[in-house]
Amino acid sequence: MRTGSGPGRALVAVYAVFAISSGARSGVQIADSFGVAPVAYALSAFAAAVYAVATVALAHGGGRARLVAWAAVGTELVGVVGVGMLTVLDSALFPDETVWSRFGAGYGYVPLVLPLLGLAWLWRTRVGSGAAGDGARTGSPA
Amino acid sequence: MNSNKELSPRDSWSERRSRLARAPGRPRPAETSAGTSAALRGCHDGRVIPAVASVLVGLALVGVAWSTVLVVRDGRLGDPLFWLVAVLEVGLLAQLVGGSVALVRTDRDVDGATFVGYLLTAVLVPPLGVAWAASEKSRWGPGVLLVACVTVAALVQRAFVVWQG
Repeated sequence: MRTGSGPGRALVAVYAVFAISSGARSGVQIADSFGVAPVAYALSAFAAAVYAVATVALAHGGGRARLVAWAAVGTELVGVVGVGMLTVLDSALFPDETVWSRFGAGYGYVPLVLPLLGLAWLWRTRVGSGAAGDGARTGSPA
Repeated sequence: MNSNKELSPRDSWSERRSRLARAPGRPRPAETSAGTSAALRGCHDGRVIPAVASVLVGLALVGVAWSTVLVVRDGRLGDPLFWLVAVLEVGLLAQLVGGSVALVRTDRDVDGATFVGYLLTAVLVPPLGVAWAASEKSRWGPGVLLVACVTVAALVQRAFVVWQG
């Protein structure tokens, strides 16, 4: 099953929302007041890039795109957990909000749940898995 | 988002704008055509923007409820939901134009870049959502519009909060 169809269709939509909103946010932050919190704003831009890559890779869904999706969603999980921990332990490091601050609390913790859903979906739709039903075994040549 | 305010007490964009507005050579809007412009300003600030935002959030939430029902009942994306989203989009376009005009007219210090950013993003979401949902022939077509409508409601809400200051 392709990663961009069925439930994956809605998942890609959520990823797109986060790519656009965190991208727009970091654009405003960097253009407006980069000096205030360079680490946080650079991280916002990085997060936006990770979401954008994950969106495109999940939407495409075949062959190499699947590998890219694994990497992007994995990076996202590491990012949200790592940055979440850091913002709780040492808030001075990130004086301004990022999408991953406090495990994504500013976005209803969706940033924390999203990579888990993404990884679960990639696992369920993996080539050779019967779990996803139709087309899972046949896969999809990019 | 909230801590942003504490850090940079005045956003540079709005500061520039309000400095411009207070520049000696340039009379304030209220001084140029006191009656009409004050009336318009009061109109935008006081009633129209909150009303439009409420209606649009309401429409978006109807879209959320509708698409949720379709997802749960294994429905498909049909005409009624499509037209609801189309009406929502027309409203969002009107809000973008009206909001931008109100932003230029107001004397209050509004973070203009963020405000217009939210309005503009909200305008883009429904067409992208419909385009992405249209080719999905399962319950997840409405699922995509569920995501789109939640997003629009959140964006309009945030834009309104930015407008209120």
